[in-house]
Amino acid sequence: MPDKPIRKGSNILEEVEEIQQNYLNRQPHKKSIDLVPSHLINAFRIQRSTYVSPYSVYNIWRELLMVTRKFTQSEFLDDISELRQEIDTLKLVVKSLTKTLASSNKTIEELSKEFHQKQTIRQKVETSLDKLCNAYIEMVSKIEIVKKIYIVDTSNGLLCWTIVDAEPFDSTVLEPIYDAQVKIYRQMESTSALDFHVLNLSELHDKPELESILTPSANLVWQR
Amino acid sequence: MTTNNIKFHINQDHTFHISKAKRNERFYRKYDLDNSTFNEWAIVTLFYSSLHYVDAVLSQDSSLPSDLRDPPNHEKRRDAVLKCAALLPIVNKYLQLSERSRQARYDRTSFKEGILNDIKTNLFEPIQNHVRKHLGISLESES
Repeated sequence: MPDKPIRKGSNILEEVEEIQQNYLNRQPHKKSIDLVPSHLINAFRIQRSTYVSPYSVYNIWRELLMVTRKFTQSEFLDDISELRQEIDTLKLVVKSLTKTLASSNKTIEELSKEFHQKQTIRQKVETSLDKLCNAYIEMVSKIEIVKKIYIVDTSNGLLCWTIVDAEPFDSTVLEPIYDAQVKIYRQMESTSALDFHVLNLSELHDKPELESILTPSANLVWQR
Repeated sequence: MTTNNIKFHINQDHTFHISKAKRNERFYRKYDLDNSTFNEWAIVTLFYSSLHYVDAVLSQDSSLPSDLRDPPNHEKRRDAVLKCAALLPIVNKYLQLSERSRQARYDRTSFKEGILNDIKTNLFEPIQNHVRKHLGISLESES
């Protein structure tokens, strides 16, 4: 039997059947190690990160065959690497869940309930932040020097960039913008989830493109 | 450097904050930051002086919860300033100066010569005067 690389679409069951058939066709005195193709032995060694003798591999395959014969072929995924990745991911998930369960002293049901509650709170906060941002846009869009408003969704909340084009370093012209920020902030119990930045285009060195200053995730939500 | 210069996160009284604010002002004068090329650092110094003025008022506001009377970070301080009735008249100026300090440290804003006058006159001094008046500190008591 020629060595074949394990590839997408290869059929484990067929390969195992072939090994078993070869074994049965051979003389009883033949060493069984010759029956296992080297690519399968190598695959086992890589998978287990340890040395496995060809004889052990043969026995593992033989046991596997006995089990797999009881199932229909449709039960098996052809793509071995995908299957392994899924198993690895599931292992990590189970490990993480076990750790959380052990450290929290809570049942799965209690944790699930807590998670859903947190999700609901987060959704409410996001909705509330969206409303506050819209109220801010409504206010500052009436100020002539305000040209654009960008919003960046960060892991800590929302960051709102107000882009203005005004006389450089004249704080009096910026006052209405900060008044609007104060009005928004005063509606919040905690302001940590919302940050405002003001950027005056006429104060920038070398007049760079806005795209080079703002993060790529900045969304233009309003422009004059 | 003595431990007098280090802020520990315990409730500080207003005299501590006023002394820190004044110290920053002395630094500003000593190194003549009005005429320095490094005017972005002049802005940062003015902001940190105003921060201590604000903290001085917060430390005396018994209507605030303890974490807002001695705020451990800028976000908490912002919450506190917005909730402190005594600071409401200068909250706009404080937010502007805070943003200028951030720009000085991180942004591509070009802080050219002559820009300090607006920031000192329209942002820093109103905060300084308001807090000094509120706490009854006269300019003569300047050390």
